[in-house]
Amino acid sequence: MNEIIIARLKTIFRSVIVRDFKSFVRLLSYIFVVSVFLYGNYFIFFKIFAFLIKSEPEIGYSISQRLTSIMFSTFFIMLFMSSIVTSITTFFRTPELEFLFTTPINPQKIFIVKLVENGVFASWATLMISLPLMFAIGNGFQFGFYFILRSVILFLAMVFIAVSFGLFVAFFFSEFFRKHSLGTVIAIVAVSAISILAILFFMKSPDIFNLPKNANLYEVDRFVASLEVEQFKYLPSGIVIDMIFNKHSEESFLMQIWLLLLYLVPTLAMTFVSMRFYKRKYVSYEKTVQKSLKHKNRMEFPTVFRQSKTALLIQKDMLVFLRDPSQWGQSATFLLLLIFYGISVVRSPIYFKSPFYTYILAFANLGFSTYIMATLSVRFIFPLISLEGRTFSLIKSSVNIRDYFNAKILFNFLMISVLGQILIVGTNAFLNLDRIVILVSMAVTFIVAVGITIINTGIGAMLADFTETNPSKIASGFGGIISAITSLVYIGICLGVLSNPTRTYFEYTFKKMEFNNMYFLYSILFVLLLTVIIFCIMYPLGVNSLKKRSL
Amino acid sequence: MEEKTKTVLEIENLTKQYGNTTAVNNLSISLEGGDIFGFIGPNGAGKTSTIKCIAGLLDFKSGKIRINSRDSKSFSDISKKKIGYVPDTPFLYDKLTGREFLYFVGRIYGMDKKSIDREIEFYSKEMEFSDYMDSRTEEYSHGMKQRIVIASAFIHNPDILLVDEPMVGLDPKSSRIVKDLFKRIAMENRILFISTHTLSLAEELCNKIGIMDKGNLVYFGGLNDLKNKIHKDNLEDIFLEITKTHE
Repeated sequence: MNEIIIARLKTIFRSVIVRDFKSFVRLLSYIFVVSVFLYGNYFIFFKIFAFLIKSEPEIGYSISQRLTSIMFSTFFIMLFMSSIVTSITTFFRTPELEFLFTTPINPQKIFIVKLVENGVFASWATLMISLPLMFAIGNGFQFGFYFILRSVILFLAMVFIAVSFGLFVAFFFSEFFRKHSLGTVIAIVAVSAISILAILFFMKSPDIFNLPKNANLYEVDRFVASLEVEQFKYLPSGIVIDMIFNKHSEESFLMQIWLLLLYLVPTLAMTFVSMRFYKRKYVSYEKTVQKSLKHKNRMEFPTVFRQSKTALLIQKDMLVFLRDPSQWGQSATFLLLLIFYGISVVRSPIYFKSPFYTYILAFANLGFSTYIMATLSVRFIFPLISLEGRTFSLIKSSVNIRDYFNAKILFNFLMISVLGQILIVGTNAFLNLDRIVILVSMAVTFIVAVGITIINTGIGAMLADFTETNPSKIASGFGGIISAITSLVYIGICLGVLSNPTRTYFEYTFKKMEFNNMYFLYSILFVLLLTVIIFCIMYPLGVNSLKKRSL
Repeated sequence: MEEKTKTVLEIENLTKQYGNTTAVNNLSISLEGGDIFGFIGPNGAGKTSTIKCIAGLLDFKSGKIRINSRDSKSFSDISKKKIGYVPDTPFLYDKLTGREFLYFVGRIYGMDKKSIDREIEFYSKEMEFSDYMDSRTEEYSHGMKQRIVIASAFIHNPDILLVDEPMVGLDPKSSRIVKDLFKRIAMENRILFISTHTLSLAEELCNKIGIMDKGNLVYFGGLNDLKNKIHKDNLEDIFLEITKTHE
């Protein structure tokens, strides 16, 4: 098509081509990691759908449809929002554009290349989850290959609408965006996204399991019937869901096609308008010139730990973190989502107030909290050493690397541990759990925080990329994926070990079977031992790789 | 006077390899306090690798680097305090101000608040960055960053200053400021080890010259001795002559 796409394809081809044993191992690792991730997602979704069909054949299908619908609606909003942010970077702020616009390449060709890039950047993460989801639905309900093909095509149409609509908003508001830093834009978009989700959450009140314990048959019937009604039916995601599940008459299917076209045609028109005005918009998009602000010196000596280099490095890391909008903007978003999670635990339906479900929820809560800790660690802990950038040469020439690594571990542990404890204690308190369960949860969270910290800091040191300045890109790179999988496997083992005494404790609570408190102790000791072993492996690996690292 | 002649930096048979490529081959140099050493050579000659080996940023295959007779392999924090390093590209923490960065570096080297304030005061006047040092470094131009980085390498008064391409991106006024600072520092009985492509800078400042080519040191000694040996007055002509004969 054009020279830029050919250059892009050559770059991709050269980066995957096997030249030596090292590149072969790297390629193999990539394929393995991505395959494990995709298959893992597929496996989980498939198990969920298979369980729903098997255990609840009457309403399993409807619940699956509702679950998928909620996920697609969330994906649609996320795609739209992330497209606004990535569009600003891809279409206006990438340094490559300065070069491209000085060449004789037609600006419309540049636009098309950037449109594809923007679509990939904005949607790859969503696709990594939704593709296995669609395969799982297809295989779980034995819908066959045609269903999967249709689902993928319709999902891509939804992605196109969301991404192009986001792009149009970015173009439309480019005058506003150019006057603000990317951090401010991210913060605005994040707050808007959260607000929209909050409004939808509270207005629509997705009540998938919200069936009162004392409901009569009429209410049960009404509840089952309501599951099949698409809640966001006029959003592209709702139309796509209706078309994917295609339970309607031919007439309504045609209606849905018209509805989808109603979105697609204006989207294409908006994209065309954006393309026509791209050059003009780009030229008027000057580099942000902000008023230079004077700042108070925050690197002054603290009253305590005056001589400690560890304290100094932590002080620097905190300062840099708090001043970087791409860091605190995403932290704030995650924090708000966690608050929503907390609220949803508090608002957990009456049906779940029975002791059995409360303990089930407590264990699920522990699993979910540690999973969140692992996810946040990959995003915020793993990139921290890479973010040192070329300034690492200053650190290496002046500080003992062991001191430096210790400072990173301490800082990371404090961040993740405090968050984990607040999450676990807060939610468990709302669930009115036994003191022993709360204490076990706290102990496990503490130990897991150490494990996750050393995994992400260690791999972050071993696979540090000092050339990349965007923490999100660092986290989504090869090292980030390795770190994520290692953390998740570690958490999986810990939860697997803890599930046994937890089950026995349930049996003790409800069936009055024999229970020995030592079961908990043994499993915690195992988790502790595993964490110590991981620490003993990761710590020297991390320190030595930093010592050997040349810039 | 006795201190002036004391050897503080000795490099003996230094060899640095990247895989099968030898970046620095059997390099031996000896410098004394007060020397301004100009390390010149074409791109890829091994200058930056040598500087990074001295700064402790790169491990090397064989050879010895001694600072005040102390082997660099046993570098402790005390040894690190004797070195100041200015990299070829000025990298700072974007979210810190220039003053905060200088504070950070000063505290890394164990300086007290009073000393840091005094040094910042001195260098901000000397290098004329007091107007912008309380703004975040992400707002600085290349030259502004370079001045802060140079000040950060000098702030703890090291015995040896390793400077990689100090003049890249500096305007004429900034260049003058940096040159004057280098001269003044050399008078304080310290060593300035400058890697540069700017031959006029080496000619103007340096009392000793080292010419590297393909990892080998092809000349080491005084500039005047070299001029007499090659029978040319201009360093550029000498440099081209020497590197040509080694092609």
